[in-house]
Amino acid sequence: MAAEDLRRRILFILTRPPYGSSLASEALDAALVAGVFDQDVSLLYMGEGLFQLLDQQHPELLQTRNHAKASRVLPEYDINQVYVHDLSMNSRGLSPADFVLPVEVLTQQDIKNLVAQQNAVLNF
Amino acid sequence: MSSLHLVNKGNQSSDALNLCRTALALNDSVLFIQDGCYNVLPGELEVLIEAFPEVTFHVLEPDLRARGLLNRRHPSVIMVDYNGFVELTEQHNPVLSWY
Repeated sequence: MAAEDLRRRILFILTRPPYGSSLASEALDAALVAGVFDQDVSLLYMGEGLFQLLDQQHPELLQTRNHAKASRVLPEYDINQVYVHDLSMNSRGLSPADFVLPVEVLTQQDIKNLVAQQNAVLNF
Repeated sequence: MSSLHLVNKGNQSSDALNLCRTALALNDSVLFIQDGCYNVLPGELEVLIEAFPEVTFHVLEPDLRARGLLNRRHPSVIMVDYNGFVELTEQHNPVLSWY
């Protein structure tokens, strides 16, 4: 079977902050694995999930791994489609300059279109 | 094919429904399960129906019945059993879980 036949569009939706549960970390691991297997991976950060991308995190104070630093490797796995929800960002007083990765800001309508194009959507 | 959105929390205890609304598109379907059943009380569901008149809203009957909500549901919500749940997943793609 040709490699193209196995390629799926997979969207990961990340809605949780980085350290209160393992969901943020699990999502990142799953997305990186999908990237390794050459899938068409995109990530969408919504709600409190945006806090995963904040710079100047100091998780060593919690004896846990640095989620922002881990997120920064996404482009090395050919994952370059990183999106944030505009209202989630604006309502928290954040801007793309606060994030450790280049992101594309999506409106509600953009998000509906993005979801409709996927073979699978995984919410974390 | 349109999407199916599974919501398993009430809107007081979680951001799940709020985030679901952001991604909810015309002709999508929503299935409320577990504590998501609290979203089909008349006042709660009416707000959703007004905002999304083209979306069909379903609820998993065993979960609704277990919570004593069978006769307190909005009349427009469609009740499904476990087989109906499976059928919905067959008729939609992708399936999104909001929790």
